[in-house]
Amino acid sequence: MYQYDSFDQKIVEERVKQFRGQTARYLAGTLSEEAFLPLRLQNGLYIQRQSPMLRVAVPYGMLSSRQLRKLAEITRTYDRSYCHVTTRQNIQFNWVSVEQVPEILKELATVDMHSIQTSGNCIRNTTCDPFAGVAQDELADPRPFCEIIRQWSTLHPEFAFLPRKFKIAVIGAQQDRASIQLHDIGLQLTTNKVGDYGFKVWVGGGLGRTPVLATPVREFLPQQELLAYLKAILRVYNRYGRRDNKYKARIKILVNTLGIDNFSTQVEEEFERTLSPEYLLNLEEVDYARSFFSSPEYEAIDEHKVQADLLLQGQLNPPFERWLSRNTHEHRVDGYSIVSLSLKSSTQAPGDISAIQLEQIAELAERYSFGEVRTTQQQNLVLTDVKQSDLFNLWLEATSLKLATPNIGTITDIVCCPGGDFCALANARSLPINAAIQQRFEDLDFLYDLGDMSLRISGCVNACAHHHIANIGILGVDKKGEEFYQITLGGQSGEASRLAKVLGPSLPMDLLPEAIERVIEIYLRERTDHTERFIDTFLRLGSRPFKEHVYGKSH
Amino acid sequence: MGNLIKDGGIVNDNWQLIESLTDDEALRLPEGDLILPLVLWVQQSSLFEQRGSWPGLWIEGNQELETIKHLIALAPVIAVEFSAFTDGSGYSTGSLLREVYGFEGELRAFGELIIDQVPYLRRCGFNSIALPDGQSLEDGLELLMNSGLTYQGSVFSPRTPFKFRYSKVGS
Ligand code: SF4
Repeated sequence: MYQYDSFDQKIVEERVKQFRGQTARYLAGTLSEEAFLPLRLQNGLYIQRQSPMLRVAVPYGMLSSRQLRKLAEITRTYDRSYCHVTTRQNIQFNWVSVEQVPEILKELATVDMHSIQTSGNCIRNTTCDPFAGVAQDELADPRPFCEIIRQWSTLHPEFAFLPRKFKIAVIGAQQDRASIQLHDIGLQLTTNKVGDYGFKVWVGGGLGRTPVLATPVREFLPQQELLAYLKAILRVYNRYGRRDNKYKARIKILVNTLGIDNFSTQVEEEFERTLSPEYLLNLEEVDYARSFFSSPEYEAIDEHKVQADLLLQGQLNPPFERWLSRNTHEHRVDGYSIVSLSLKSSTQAPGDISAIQLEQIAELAERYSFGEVRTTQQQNLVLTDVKQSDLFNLWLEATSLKLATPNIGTITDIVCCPGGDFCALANARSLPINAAIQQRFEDLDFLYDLGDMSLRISGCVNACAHHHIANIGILGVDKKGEEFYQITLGGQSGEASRLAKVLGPSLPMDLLPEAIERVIEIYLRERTDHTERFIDTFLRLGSRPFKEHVYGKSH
Repeated sequence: MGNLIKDGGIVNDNWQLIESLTDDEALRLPEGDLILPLVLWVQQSSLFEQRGSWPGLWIEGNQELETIKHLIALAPVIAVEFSAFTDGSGYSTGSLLREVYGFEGELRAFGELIIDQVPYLRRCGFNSIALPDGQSLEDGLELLMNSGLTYQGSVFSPRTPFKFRYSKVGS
């Protein structure tokens, strides 16, 4: 894991000092509300419906046990003893006070954390595959590059006041677990003919009002040229992106207006004319970045014996078997597994995590996974390096901590924005919808039988829960001051990313759970057998039977 | 423009920003050092040619530069206007003027800026910064003087983040 050197430490401390000054000027009335706004946003501070909210960066989703404990401590001292994992792998404190934020930032800085650029119209936290470094299908670890991008984009003088927010994601595996096509820039590590590392580059993805999947703009970008190329893209965007209309300001609109060919020509020209050696990464610095992410000391494990044990434990404990099949994933090293800790259950808001859980997870991580955890875009946590011989004990402990709901990748692994309960922009609440659906699908056998499925709920068109890429999406809309919900079907994330389509007229809250149940009924009736996933049945049949069953034939 | 921050100090500004010219003025330009908006600059260029000295050039933050390349080479001052402090297009424009167009004269930022932006502007190549009323030059200068380490350097000496920090791995 990356560790700050004195240079990083200094930069973050200076930033804390600067923000302390800005906050003091604002509270004293010498910095206007209007001028303070972008400054506080660039430090992750929002004003929400009931209280200010502070968003803390979790660079590419990695947290150490030490950091988890600090987060727990902060939630106790400054918040209400819980925090929230966001869809961009960050952490949010929902109940802080503006006056105390500089103190919180100071606390965070003691464990190599900050809130710089977690909101506002600037380059946001770089996201990444939560299985980076341990995935079986990985060509190279993306995290060294995420760290390089993190540093490069932090307080970049040229790109602090962009037309709109700007998000970058990097993967190194075949399977896209970071939805790179939904980002302003998506990067996938690849090699060229002679085996040199580089990136395939996508540009112009994003959800919100106008969901768009990113388009490839460069098939192979040598790794040394990464920052120079990012700079070229950002510069073209900063000069030509629209600033007159917030909803047309993302780079996806610029790419669309210019056309990808024209856009790409401009980027390449900009790249060529400013490509001086100072902007190139040299291989030694890449190696240096890589050295922070070297593999832990894995033990040599007799896989056959562990597998036999697991099989037996599973037979004796069907709930354990179910958990194994849903919440553990293949590791590149024999005898190890990747384990998802589910933050979704009927008793909590998706992604919420209490101070006690934070501390207990810190301990689990230390005992079972080299003291590190990852946050995921699905708002869960992952222990990446668990010995298979430890799985049973881990499962027992996680169960008692309510972190072992065997629902990863199922319909109750709901991704949900804070919605009307917290967010000032919401059209409708999303948390009660989450709770209602959790309840309907509580039966674990049924859930298990339904298999792979994704459901996401956004409280307004800003689409923070990315409902467009869910198999089943729910969007809060406002109908004459009342909360209504639109259902979308057929979205998909990953390398087969696909945007969902609206099923029919929006429905009031009380009819919604029933409607979702009806969608599921059609799937169960029509699937060829239990191995055909919901999305495949949907793609085979189209939306018609679903629509008829939800709304009745007359529609 | 009154006072401004220039090259690490607060100085009295002797350039006049001329927004428009009356017909009379257009025939006999005011004395002194003038900064003119691009359109006027071009209109009046023959007059200046006779005088043998060029005025400063006032451009918008998102001005297309390729079409005014020949003027960039002549202007002693280029003043980039920031129409709102949230509109950061001028940062790229400044960087390009230094990095691509080789502009070595006074590069000035003015308009709706706030003091917190002074260090960023400097790193993008602006060596003179005029702040609007209500923004203290002294405070801006202090921020500039105390702005510390950066990951990117500046347009004058850019660098990659780890450039001077890595030690050889494995040796
Ligand atoms: S989707 Fe809308 S309601 Fe939900 S968090 Fe985003 S802005 Fe708020």
